[in-house]
Amino acid sequence: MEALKVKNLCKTYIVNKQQNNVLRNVSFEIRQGEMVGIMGPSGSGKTTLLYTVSGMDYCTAGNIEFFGKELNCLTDNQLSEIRLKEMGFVFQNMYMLKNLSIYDNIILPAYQAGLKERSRKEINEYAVALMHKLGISDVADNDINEVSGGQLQRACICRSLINKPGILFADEPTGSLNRQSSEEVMEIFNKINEEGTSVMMVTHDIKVAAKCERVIYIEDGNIKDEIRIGKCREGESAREREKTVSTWLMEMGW
Amino acid sequence: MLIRILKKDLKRKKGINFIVFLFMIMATVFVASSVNNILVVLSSTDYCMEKGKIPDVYICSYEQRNGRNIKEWLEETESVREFSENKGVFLAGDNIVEFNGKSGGDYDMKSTIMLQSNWNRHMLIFDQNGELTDLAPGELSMSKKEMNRNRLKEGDSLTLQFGNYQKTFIISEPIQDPSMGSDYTGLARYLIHESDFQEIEKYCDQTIFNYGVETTDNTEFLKEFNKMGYDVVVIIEKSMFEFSYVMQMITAIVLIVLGVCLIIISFLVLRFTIVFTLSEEYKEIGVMKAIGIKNFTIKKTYLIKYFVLITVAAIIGCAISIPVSKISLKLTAGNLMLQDSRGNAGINIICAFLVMAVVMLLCLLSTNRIRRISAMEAIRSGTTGERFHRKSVLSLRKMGHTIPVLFLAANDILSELKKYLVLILTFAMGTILIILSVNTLESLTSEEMAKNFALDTKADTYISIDTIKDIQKGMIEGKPYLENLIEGLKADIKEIGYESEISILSYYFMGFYVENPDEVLRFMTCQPVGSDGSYIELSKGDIPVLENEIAMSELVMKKLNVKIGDTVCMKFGDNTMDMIITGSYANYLQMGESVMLNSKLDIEDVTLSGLFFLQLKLTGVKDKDTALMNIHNRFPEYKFNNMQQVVSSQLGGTTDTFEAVKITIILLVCGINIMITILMIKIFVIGEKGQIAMLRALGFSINQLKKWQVIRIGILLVISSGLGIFCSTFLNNLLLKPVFAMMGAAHMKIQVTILESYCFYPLLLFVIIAFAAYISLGKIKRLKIMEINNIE
Repeated sequence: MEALKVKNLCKTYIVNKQQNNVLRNVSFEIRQGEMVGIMGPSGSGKTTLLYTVSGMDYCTAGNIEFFGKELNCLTDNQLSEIRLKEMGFVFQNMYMLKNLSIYDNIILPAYQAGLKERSRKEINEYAVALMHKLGISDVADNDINEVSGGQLQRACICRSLINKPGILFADEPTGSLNRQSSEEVMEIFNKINEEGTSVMMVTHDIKVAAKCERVIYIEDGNIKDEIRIGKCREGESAREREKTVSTWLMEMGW
Repeated sequence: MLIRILKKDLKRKKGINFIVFLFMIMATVFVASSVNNILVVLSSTDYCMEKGKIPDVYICSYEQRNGRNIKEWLEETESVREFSENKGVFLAGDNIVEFNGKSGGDYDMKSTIMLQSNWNRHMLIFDQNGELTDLAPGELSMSKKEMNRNRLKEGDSLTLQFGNYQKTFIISEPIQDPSMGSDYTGLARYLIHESDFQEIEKYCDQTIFNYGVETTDNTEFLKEFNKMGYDVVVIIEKSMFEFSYVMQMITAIVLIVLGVCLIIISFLVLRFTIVFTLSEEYKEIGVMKAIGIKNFTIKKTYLIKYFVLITVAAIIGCAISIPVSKISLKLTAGNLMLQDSRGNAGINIICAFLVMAVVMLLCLLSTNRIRRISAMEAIRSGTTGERFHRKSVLSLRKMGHTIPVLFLAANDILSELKKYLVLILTFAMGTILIILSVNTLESLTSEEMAKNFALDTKADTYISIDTIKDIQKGMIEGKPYLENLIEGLKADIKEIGYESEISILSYYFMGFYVENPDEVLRFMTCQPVGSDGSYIELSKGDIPVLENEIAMSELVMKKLNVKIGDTVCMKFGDNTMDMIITGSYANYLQMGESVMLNSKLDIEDVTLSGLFFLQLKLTGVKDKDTALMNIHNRFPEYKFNNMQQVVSSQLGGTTDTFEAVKITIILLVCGINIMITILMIKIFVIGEKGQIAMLRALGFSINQLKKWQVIRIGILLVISSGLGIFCSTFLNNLLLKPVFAMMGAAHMKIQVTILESYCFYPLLLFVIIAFAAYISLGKIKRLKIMEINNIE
């Protein structure tokens, strides 16, 4: 089943009375449990695509189906509900509320989602388990500026997973991290994906893209091409996957 | 370049800039009108005393009655430099036959009214232009307040009757009365032409003789005068006239205090906005510093912006403040005769410059931070990265079942209390202002206040004494007449089937001394007739019961240097009598200087100074409303009042003025709170747009985000209401009690209607501000999630 089905998506901005077509008839699908990387030169429309398909921004034309629901037909409140309960977001700059501790930032969306499905006790247990899994249990009660960038990004991933989303959107999640932290974060993404969560990730990093099952290349608001390299298997050479992606990107003019 | 930055800034933050601009205008208006008020009102007492030619001592007497001639004595006395004489008659209800087509019975006589012709030497009366009033025969003039009370206007008619003589007067231009104009003198003067007065005098039973005396030494003069034992209605020293104006100034002072509070609020808001605007632009400042732009050049951008804003605001504010000063002077001054009732435009201009200077100083101080912080600090939005205390105060997981938006709102306030202090202080100040004005008005019309007039608060109705026919006789005949009147009235009421108790307080102007008969002091002395006066509440001791017992107000005891249990000598006519002081009590009349006699003593040969209301208490009647209606019908000529009406009539226009002040305060506080709320919400939304965008990205709906902001304002309001209520309980005693004490009500308990002061008005503010907050949150909807990139 498709987690996300995008058809003829167009997005136009009007800047200084001039029409700027950022996305032009973009169509693609993401299957449930698939991990897809989005690559492309700066200004090609990657981030706009991510924000539009996740319902954070409205599209100018086209159709977006999220687990069978047409996002274009939903009201602002219904979109908020979907973002809260069925989607997860990881941003490049590790945005968090400045007056809350790491722990409170993580559990906030779950508390906001309501208590129909889970009690607060269950939420807290799940948050503790997530933090343990991502290795940030010891900084749970710290303020957001009392932790390292890597720890903060892991906290953001914890927050995005707290409501057990069907899909995780990530906008250059390793962009602000050093190599080691990037690798740790990508391992986490792979783990999450293995557990069945779909991932759609915008990245500039070949190493990160090589961890994805499929990579889509965007240029001038259009999908130029895509490459399927399959799921990352244990023991598989990372270098080999990176080489494949790199060769393909060179063909794309990267 | 600077102009371009300025234009961009004004356009980008037009909402905030507009409200700041309004606050600058408001600050200019408040400062200019308040300073104008202070200066004009402070100079008005001396002006009134001088312009009105207020004598050192004013004597009012029915001197012809006992044959002694005060005039002759004044001519012979050494301590008299000069004196002048004028006659008058007291108007009773039955003297007014008709006014403007209506029956005289409907005429509202709140004060004692003296009819007289203009007195050319002392206690002058002026027209609205400050010129001596010059009336033609057949014309009658009264103060604007008196005209308003009976809805009279220039050209209306007033028909007076004295014995068989009846004359219709045409109401002329209102007068200004510097001597009796204060609300606290309780006497109003109606002016007619000399020839009309002479005609009326012929038909009048009793003429009042007024003397204005300039003395070489007031104390010496009064000592000699009191020794003579003249029978007087009232003696007023110049200091008492001045004091009555000090009391009049209380209203002015209240409005000035209000102005000062509003000025403080305006400057607090301005400072907050300037500091916020700077901190919002730290990144830009950092970049400018990093590329080598000098500190002063950066500062100049902000200084020019505020200079432009404050210059335009000061010009507009100054222009507005001129008519506002005029209006507020009218409100604050009441009946005060002002040197310049238009205010002084020069003062307004100086004040506008002053506000400009203060705003620019605030800007300079706030922009000093630009110099102190490094480029890196500025780029990091003013932080160095070091943190010495935790930011998060509350913990969501420990908050039980609290809804997340409520948690976020509470945590924001506790984490950044300093940021919200301006709002808390402003809202608290508004709450205090409203509560104090409500409490003042409540106290003025309360049962507690009625007790300060020695009123029987348990009476069912109070009959206006001036509606009793031939009451002037009662003034002369005294107690026997009053006892007859009461008995007759009781019998009449019994005839229609009701038992009643009726009492009245009669007033004399008695002399008292302790040891030396040459040192007599005269005080207003009341005596209960028809009752033993047990309804009068004493602050200490017991009610005087025996013939030789009296109670005194603390002010009188202080003046005579006596205490409860001491004996004083009371002088009335040619008689003296030793009296034992049994207790102390409070009486608002005569500025708290009064004495209470027992009910048994028969005083003969002394003219009454005044009579209070006839107090009627129905006994053994179940349906009092019907009984009172029947009594009203039986005596249509009488005017029946309830307790509030009695108190209000005795306070002159004070209650009306405070009512107007209360409404003004409520409207101003609501208006300012709405403006501040809108400004703060706009500032918060701009400062938090990154966080708002992130919460939207996480799935918080617009309504939930609005709730977060409104709840935060709501919590601030609850805190500030609590703070306001807490402070007002202290300020009640600290500010209001001394004011009431000055008026003679030394032990006045400030009345607090908990429901009104602590619930209704704080709730009203809450609803208005929450609504204003919700309305001004429309911008949240327009914020794009892409704004997440603006997060700190």
